[in-house]
Amino acid sequence: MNKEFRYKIHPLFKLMFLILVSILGFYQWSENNYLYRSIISLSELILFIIITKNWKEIRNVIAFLLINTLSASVFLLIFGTSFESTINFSFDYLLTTTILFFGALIYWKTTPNNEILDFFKRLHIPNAISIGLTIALSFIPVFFKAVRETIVFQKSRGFRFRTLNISAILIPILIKMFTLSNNLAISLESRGFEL
Amino acid sequence: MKISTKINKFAKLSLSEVIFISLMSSANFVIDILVSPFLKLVFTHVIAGVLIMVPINFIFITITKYSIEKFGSLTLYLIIFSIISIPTNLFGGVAGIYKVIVGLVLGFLLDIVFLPKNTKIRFLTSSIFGSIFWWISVFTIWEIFNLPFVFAFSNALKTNSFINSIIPVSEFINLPIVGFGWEFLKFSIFCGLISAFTVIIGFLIGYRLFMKMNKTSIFKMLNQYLNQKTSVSS
Repeated sequence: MNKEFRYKIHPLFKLMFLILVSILGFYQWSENNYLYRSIISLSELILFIIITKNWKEIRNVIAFLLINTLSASVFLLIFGTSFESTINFSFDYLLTTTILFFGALIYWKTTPNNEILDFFKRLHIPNAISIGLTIALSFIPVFFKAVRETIVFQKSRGFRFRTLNISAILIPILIKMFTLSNNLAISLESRGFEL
Repeated sequence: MKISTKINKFAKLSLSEVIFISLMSSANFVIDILVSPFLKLVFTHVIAGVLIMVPINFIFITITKYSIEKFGSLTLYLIIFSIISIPTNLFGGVAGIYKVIVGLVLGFLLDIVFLPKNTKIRFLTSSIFGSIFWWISVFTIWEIFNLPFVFAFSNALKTNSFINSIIPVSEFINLPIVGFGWEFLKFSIFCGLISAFTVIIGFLIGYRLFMKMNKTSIFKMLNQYLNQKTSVSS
């Protein structure tokens, strides 16, 4: 059993950190609770920068958060909420999402798949969920690559990409996934793995 | 050896099925993460969710369910989907570990609505009840976390004369919606029914894609291998 955890912190403590952060993201200490939540979100941002050290990723995460907040603000403005309360809500929403988002990202960054799997085993979570989760997390980049490759291959065969005509892209990807799942299952079973 | 094609719906999921479900949920996650920020910015949270995001998710859900008919496939699918979407704003609007519980409950309910064998009945139950269950759970999350989307959307429906002239919502639901209760449930069902129209399209696209995939020789070969394995093990 692997006892060397990343950053020498047990996954349970990392999970407790995530739960604590999730509670702090919503807990109302007083009427004006922006200060302590701003401090938490800033601390998380700094911690995230220290952990990732990848400016492109940090930029993407911040852009994602801002777009999400902007869309929520537009929604409220369109549907008749006053400008002042929209601004208040947007700031509150940005703080909440920042706290939760960075909290969860820090957890994923500091806890590799094998630690999550090991931790799930200790919690007696069914193998189907833990193995499924590990595979889902590992194959996200593979799926991105498969989409890009399929588009290039289909274009080289004369396919013109249109939004409503996605079957020429989706079917090869789905079949690729079906083949991949069978091959992976055969490979795992031949090594003695059982669900 | 006689190959049995009869599927036991309540049998345990095999390893390759678990892997396929997890790959499908990661594919759904990737599509959602690519599409949702832009759609939410253009169409706003509720409209993008009701009319576009949920139907997209239902395309993947339908393909998964038709590929693996066993009970529990969608529970596993949504548990995995909810866990990988914890650090994002997908599946509920805000990041958080609460999504695992929502995924478990919603997945179980979707497994139930996909139970009918007849495609037409399944088509209706999964589209109507599926989208109603989906929106009850999402609206509940928004209300628990004090996000004013339900209030703002219901208020807009009350004041918008164009929508009221088509469907007189204010006559049968006491708008705007504040907190939980009977009116909240009625409003969730109403939004679920609106969403059901687009979910039906999502279901049909998913079913059509599955039927196209089902005709390919490689899929037939893999499916035959799976059935052979299942019949030997049972």
